[in-house]
Amino acid sequence: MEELMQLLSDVRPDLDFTSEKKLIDDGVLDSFDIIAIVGELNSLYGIEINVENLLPENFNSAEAIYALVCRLQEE
Amino acid sequence: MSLISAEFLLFTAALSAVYFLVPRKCQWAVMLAGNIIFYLLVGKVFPIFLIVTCISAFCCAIMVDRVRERFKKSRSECHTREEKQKNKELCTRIQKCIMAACFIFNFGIWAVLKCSHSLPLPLGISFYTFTAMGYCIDVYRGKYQAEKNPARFALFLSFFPHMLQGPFSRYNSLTETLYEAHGFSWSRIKEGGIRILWGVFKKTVIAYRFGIIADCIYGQKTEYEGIYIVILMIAVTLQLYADFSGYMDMAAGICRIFGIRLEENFRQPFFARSIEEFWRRWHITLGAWFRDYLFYPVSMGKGAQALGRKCRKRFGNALARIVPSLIALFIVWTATGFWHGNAWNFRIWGWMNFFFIGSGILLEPVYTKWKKLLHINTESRWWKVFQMCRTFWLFAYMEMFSSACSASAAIRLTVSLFHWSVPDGYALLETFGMEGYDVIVLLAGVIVMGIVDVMKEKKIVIQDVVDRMPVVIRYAGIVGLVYMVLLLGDIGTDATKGFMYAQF
Repeated sequence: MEELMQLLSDVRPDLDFTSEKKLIDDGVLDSFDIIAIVGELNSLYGIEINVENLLPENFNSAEAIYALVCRLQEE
Repeated sequence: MSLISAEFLLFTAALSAVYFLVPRKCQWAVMLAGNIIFYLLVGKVFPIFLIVTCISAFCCAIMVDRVRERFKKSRSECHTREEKQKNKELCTRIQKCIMAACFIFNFGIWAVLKCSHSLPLPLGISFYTFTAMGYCIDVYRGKYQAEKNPARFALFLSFFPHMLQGPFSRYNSLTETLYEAHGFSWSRIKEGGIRILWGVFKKTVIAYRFGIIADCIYGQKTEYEGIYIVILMIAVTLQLYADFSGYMDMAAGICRIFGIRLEENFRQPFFARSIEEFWRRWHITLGAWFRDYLFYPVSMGKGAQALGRKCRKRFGNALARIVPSLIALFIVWTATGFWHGNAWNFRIWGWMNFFFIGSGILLEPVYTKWKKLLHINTESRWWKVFQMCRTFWLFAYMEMFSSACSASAAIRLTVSLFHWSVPDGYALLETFGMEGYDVIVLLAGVIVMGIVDVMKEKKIVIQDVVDRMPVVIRYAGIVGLVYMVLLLGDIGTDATKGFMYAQF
């Protein structure tokens, strides 16, 4: 999780990912941020996030993103 | 039948009367019949392309769903992980083939008709083709199941308020209320009626007058310069806004009468502080379509991601992260330009949007440094107003460019912008063939439109404000609006030429 928090703050240093719970619903992350995060996650964890995974519930918080990474690693 | 005519009013009234009189389980069938009659009355031709798109999209989604179900069953019989993986890959491959065939067929028809100068573009084809393909992609992605009833799917695709000029409705969002039964409600009719009236006012009173100015400058052989081009930029932008958002108000109002929820296509665009934000407020559903079905697949594709990784070594992390998005952004704006028209002025318009959005993101760290150096408070009111004005003028310039008859004409207008001469006010009015009262009507209309947008931006629900007004003032306002439309509005123009976005 620490690694993920570092990755997220590298992409958006202005955000506090520990408190943000509606990153997509409130429009905090835009499509450029999402693609940057997806690219970093794919490289770091060796997973393949595809368009079907781009759901608000998978990217609304750091915990949700972590859960998605864990799920894709298991598959 | 024009959309702003007594015939259309009668059509809507008759359809709503039948809709609420028949048993509730038949309401959707009445709406489908209404859509067919509407297309025949407005389009004046048999909707062959609409039917073809409807059948092909319906069959494609059904086949994609069936393939998924069949492979799901056979996957349960797989014992090893490799077998399951192979099964999944084969399933995806077959689904992709079905999708590709449907895409080539439908986008092929659309592109051929768009490129052809001899064939007329069928009414609403750019809207229903994209809506249908969006539905197929959602089914392929497993977002929802394919519709099993062809007649109900035809109702979704041909639903008359969104078929001509959008919004690009999503199947799951629109059909939630479209397939539902609805009881008669006076309050809904009142709310819908007011919204329709407001849309008609914007279209017939405001857009019409700005159209006179735009047509005058575009249509004349005389070379206009300086102030005329500035006026043209304002006129084209506000004409398009009043026209397109006016239609959206009418469409939303009609849907409100029936109890159907239509997605909003505008969110006070002139409050945007950048071109990127502007496109999240203007023609929202078109932007969302391109984002979900083109931007994400391209930027997450193997090619764009691999290029991003290559750039990492040479240019560092920050730039490498946005390379896939920039590639996708270029493709999206090239496609958006083509969607608007097969001409160089539309292509350049698309690339200008790409340039302003892309450079804004790319140079963000540089801008941040400058703002710090110059001690600019980015949250101050004046800075926000400056950003809004800058966005307005950039958009206005691009609209003038795309509205010109050709790219060379647009470049000529751009050059003329810098040849400055200031004629007196009467000379301007005379040039545009307008009377003094036209200017007063135009200014008053723009102020009212602006006040409504400010209220919406402040999250004030207009309907609540109207409801809280004393009855006398409320009805006087409605009567006044009707009176202004009848007296000052341009009523009865041809439906296809009447609304600017109907030509796309």
